[in-house]
Amino acid sequence: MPIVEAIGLKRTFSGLQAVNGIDFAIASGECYGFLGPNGAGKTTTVRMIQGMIPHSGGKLHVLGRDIGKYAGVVKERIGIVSQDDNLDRDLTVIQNLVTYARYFNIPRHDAIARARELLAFLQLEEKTNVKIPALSGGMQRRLAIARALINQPRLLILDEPTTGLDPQARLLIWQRLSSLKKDGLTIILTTHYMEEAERLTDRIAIMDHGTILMEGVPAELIKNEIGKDVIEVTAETGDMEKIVYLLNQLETHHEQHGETVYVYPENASDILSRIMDQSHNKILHRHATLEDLFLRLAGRSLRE
Amino acid sequence: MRFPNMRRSHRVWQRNLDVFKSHYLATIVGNIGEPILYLFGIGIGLGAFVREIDGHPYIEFFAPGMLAASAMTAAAFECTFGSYTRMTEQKVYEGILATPIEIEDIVIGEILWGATKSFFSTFAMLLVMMAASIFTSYAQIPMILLNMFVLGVAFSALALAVSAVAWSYEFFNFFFTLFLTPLLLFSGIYFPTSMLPEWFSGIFLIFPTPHSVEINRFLFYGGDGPHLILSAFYLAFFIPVGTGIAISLTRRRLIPRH
Repeated sequence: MPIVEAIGLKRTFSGLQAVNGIDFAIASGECYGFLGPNGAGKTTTVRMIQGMIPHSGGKLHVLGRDIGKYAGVVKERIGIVSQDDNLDRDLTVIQNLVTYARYFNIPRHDAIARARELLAFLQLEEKTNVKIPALSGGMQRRLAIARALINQPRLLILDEPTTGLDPQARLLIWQRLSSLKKDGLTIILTTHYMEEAERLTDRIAIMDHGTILMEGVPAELIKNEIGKDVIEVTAETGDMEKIVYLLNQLETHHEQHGETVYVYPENASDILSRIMDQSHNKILHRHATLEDLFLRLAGRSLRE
Repeated sequence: MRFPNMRRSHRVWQRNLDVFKSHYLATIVGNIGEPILYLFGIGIGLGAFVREIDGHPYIEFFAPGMLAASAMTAAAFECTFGSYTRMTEQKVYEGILATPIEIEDIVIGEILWGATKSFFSTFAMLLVMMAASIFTSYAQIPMILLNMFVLGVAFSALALAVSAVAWSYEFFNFFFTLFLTPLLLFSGIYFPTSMLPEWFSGIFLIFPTPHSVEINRFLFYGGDGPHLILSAFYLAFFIPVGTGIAISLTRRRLIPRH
């Protein structure tokens, strides 16, 4: 039985469709990612899974129960890291965890033991008695993760867990999430960092305008939709015309955006040498990534 | 609306108590020091001119009213500035709602916490009044504390309903200036309501304060209170209604509509 199952899930806000009839099923032990630009409906989707906002239509079962009817029971068994920092700023690090444990009715003695374990796991032991405003952004996010784990959840849901963090802080969070995944925890996350999705998720759903555009295993989606390689050529207008002419003649799939042309070749080395014959421009040959897929789907131009 | 779960409300109350423990000194100065200054400043200062009301020296007339004033002010402050900060800036409610605790539990926990702060200030003031021999009916202490706790609950519920529709701290000026101050002035705290035109003092009877003041005065000095039962019934009615309104307004604010 899936941990989360949605059929025709919908949500409107004052008449506007935020989530427009989506289907997905998340299996036990899986790390599932919702990707998409701001306003795609990712946060709305996870907030419905969390039981924080009711859905307007369709079915949504979490941990085998209808979340619309049993949000209270389901919340006993899920951990939530929300996008806004809502740690309790009036309390210290350890008090945040122990107070939170009390909301779950966990006995004080167990709560303290569990809190100390989690602080060690997230490398926050030295900050045990510090108040929240004295913590860095990365530490606050780690504490939010510790807090979400205090009730030993079966499902952990993170809404943009590393947005706004520096690279080191992000790396530490990725390591910890990977380790939780290895231990068999089911994880749902939203992100707009493609690297994060590629590192952590088993499957992704790419969302835009409240619908799921594509769903699957990241590597397979990239291979099927983009291929193995990408060649980026940056050139001035005159040279660019020549290159595009060449690519058209070779019938190689490519897209031009401003001063850069993105080439998706079947035989990379062959195309590469042909382009190099033509010009001495900036050429980058790399593996196709989720970013290429994402930009293919959502478009490369800036969206408002 | 789900029937409230008192254990869960207690968790919210405990959270506020934990925070209170870390800055109780500031709270004591504000919630208890200020009413005591009023009690003696006005009780003795104005008392020198007024002499007696209903056979009591002015400070004795004023004391039970001042007790009610401090209970309602403590609750009103806690459940406006305090609760509003927790709800908006600090996002404490949002954090709690990710747990099995629901909006009803939060609202009731907050109301009980506001009433607890009323209780702290009335209890301390009673001690001061006893030390100054203004208050001597020791047998009535439990009933007086109960009466003040009830007033604290009523005002916490009202204040929380106001917080749920407030859009900024400035909004509370409406509540304090247009609502709380008239209630403080015309509920029989500083002077008997019999001095006012009947239609005017009648308006204030739709709010809890004049009822609580009358009950307090009866508990302090006895006498015949013809409206006491009516007042008690009124308070018993006001609390569930006020709480229900606070819950539904808070829900409307925190859970976006379809």
